Amino acid sequence: MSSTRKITVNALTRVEGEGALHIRIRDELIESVRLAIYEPPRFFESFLRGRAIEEVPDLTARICGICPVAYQMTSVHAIENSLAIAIDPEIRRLRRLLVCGEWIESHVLHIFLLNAPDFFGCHSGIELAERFPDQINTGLRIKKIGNRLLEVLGGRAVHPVNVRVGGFHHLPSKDELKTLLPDLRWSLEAAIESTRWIAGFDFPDFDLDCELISLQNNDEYPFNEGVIASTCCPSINVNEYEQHFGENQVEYSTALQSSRRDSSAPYLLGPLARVALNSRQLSPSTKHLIETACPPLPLTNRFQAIIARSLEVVHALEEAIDVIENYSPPYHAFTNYRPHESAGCAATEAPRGMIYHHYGIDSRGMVASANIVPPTSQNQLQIESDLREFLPQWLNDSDETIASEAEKLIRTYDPCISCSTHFLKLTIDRS
Amino acid sequence: MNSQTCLIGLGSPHGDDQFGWAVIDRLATMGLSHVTLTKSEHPVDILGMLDANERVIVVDAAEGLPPDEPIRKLQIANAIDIRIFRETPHRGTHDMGLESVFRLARSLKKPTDHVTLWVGKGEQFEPFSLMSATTQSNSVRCAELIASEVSDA
Repeated sequence: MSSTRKITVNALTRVEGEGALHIRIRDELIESVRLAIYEPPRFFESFLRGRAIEEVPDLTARICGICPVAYQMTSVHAIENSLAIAIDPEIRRLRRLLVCGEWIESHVLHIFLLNAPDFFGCHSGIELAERFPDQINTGLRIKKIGNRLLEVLGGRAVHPVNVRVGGFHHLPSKDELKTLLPDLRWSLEAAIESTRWIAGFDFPDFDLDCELISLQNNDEYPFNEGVIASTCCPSINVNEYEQHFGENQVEYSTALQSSRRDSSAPYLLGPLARVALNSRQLSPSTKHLIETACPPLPLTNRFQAIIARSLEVVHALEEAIDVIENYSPPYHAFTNYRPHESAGCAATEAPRGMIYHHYGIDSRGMVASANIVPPTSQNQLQIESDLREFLPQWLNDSDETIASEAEKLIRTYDPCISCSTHFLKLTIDRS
Repeated sequence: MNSQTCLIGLGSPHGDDQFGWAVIDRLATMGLSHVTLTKSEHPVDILGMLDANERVIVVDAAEGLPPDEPIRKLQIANAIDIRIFRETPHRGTHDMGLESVFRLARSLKKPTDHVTLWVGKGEQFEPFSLMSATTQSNSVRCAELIASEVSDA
C-alpha cells in the first residue's frame, strides 16, 4: 500500500505577494514540489498602458517596497532605449550610486536579520541579536548608510521620486554627497570584517549544478547595463531576452514562471550568478576578500549565497565611495527628448536578480504596452527544482523539520516572499 | 544623542496602511522646529533612530481598534501599553513587524523607553487602493495631536 504525506506551508500576505509551498511525498519519495507565488507586478503591466512615460519611473517604483530602485532603473533605461536617449556619463554614475544604496540596505537586511539566523539554529534575527549583538548592530549601521544614499539621491528612502526619463529631477551637490563619506568608509571596513565572519559559517552542503544567469559588463560590475551572460549558453543582448526566455502559467499559482524557451529549463539569478560571471569586475577590496577569506569561486552552494551577498555589499560600498570622491555635477540634470512611436527594453540587476522590462510607446508619449519580468518569478522554477533535490535527505524527519529546511533553502534566494524571517505556518494533511 | 524629536511614519501604498505616511505629510506642512520627519515602509528603520534621539514617535496603522477610539497613543515603556500593543493586530505588510523590531531593540540593549507609538485605525488594505476618507480624516486629527504634544514639550 502506498502512503502519501502532503506538507503545506502557507506564507503570510505581504506587499510583494502571497506565497505558499506544497510538498507531496509518496512512498518516501518527493512526488511534487509546488511554490505558489502571487505577484502584484502583473497588475502594473495593465494599468501602465495609457499613462505618460514620465509617470512610469514613479509608478514602477511602487512595485516593490524592498527594491523600488531596481524597478525604477529598469523602466527608465527601457524607455531611454526606446527613444534612443543618450545619458550623460556623470548621470550614469549617479544612477549607479543610487543602485549601490539599494543593494546595501536590501542585502544587509537579508544577511543579518533574515538569513544569518539560519546558520545558528536561531528562529529569528531577535534570537541572533542576543547572541551576536555587535554584529547585528554593525549590520544595522551599514544598512543606515544605504538608506541615506537613497534619501540623498532618490529624494526619499521610500519609493524614491527623483529619477526621471533622461536623468534626475534634481542633482545633489558635491558637498551633500561628501557628507556621506565618513559613514561609507566606516561601513566599508565593517562590511569587510562582517564578510570574514560570514565566510566562516558552517554551510550545509548543497552544491547542485544549474545554469547561472546575470548581466555582464566588461567595464564594471553589472547594475544597470550589460549583456545577458550564462554559465551554460552564449551571451545574448538584452533585446533578445524574449526570444530565449518565456513565462508560463501554472495552475497552482497566479504568478508566471520563467524558463528557457528551448528547453523549458530553470535558471538561477542573483548574487551567486553575478559573482560567478563578473568576479573580474569586483572592487579591489572585494577581490582581496575572495582571495583571503572565501571559498574558491564559483560559489554554487545555494547556502553560500550569503557570502556572495556580503561580497556585493563590500563592492557597493567601495564603488559608492569612488563615485562620490570623483563626482563632478553635470550642467544638466536630465537630457531632453521628444517622444515618438517606438519600443525598447532594458534589464538591470535587482538585489535578488535580473529584472527585465519592455515598453511600447505611442506617438503621444503614452505607454502602449508593458512587459515586466521580476527576478522572483524567474527564480521560482529553480527553487522548486532545488527543493526536489534537497529535501530527500530530510524525509525521515518530522513535517516541521522538512518545512523548516525547505524554508531555509528558499530564503537563500532572498525572494520577496521572505520578507519575514519567520513567515511560515505549517499545516499537515496525511493520507 | 540628538536633542531632537524624531517622528517616523510607517506604511505602504495599500489603502489605510498609508496612515503613518499621511500623518507625516500633514506634520510636514505645520512648520515644526527641532523635529525630524521620516517616512518608511520598514519598521526595522526605527532601530537606527533609538540611540540617536531623545524622543522617538512612531506612527502606524492598525486593525482592530474600537470604533470610538480610532487613534491610540501607546508608551512602549509602559507595560500595560505594550500588552495592548501586542494585542492590536498589525498588518504584516512590512519586512519585520513592529513588535519584532522592539523585541530586537531590547535584544540589542537599545533604549525604547523614549518611544511613543501612535496607531490609527485602518479597515481596508487592498493593494494600491486609496486610503479611506475616515482614515484620512483620522490622520489629520492624529497629526494635530502629535503637533500639539511636540510643541508643548
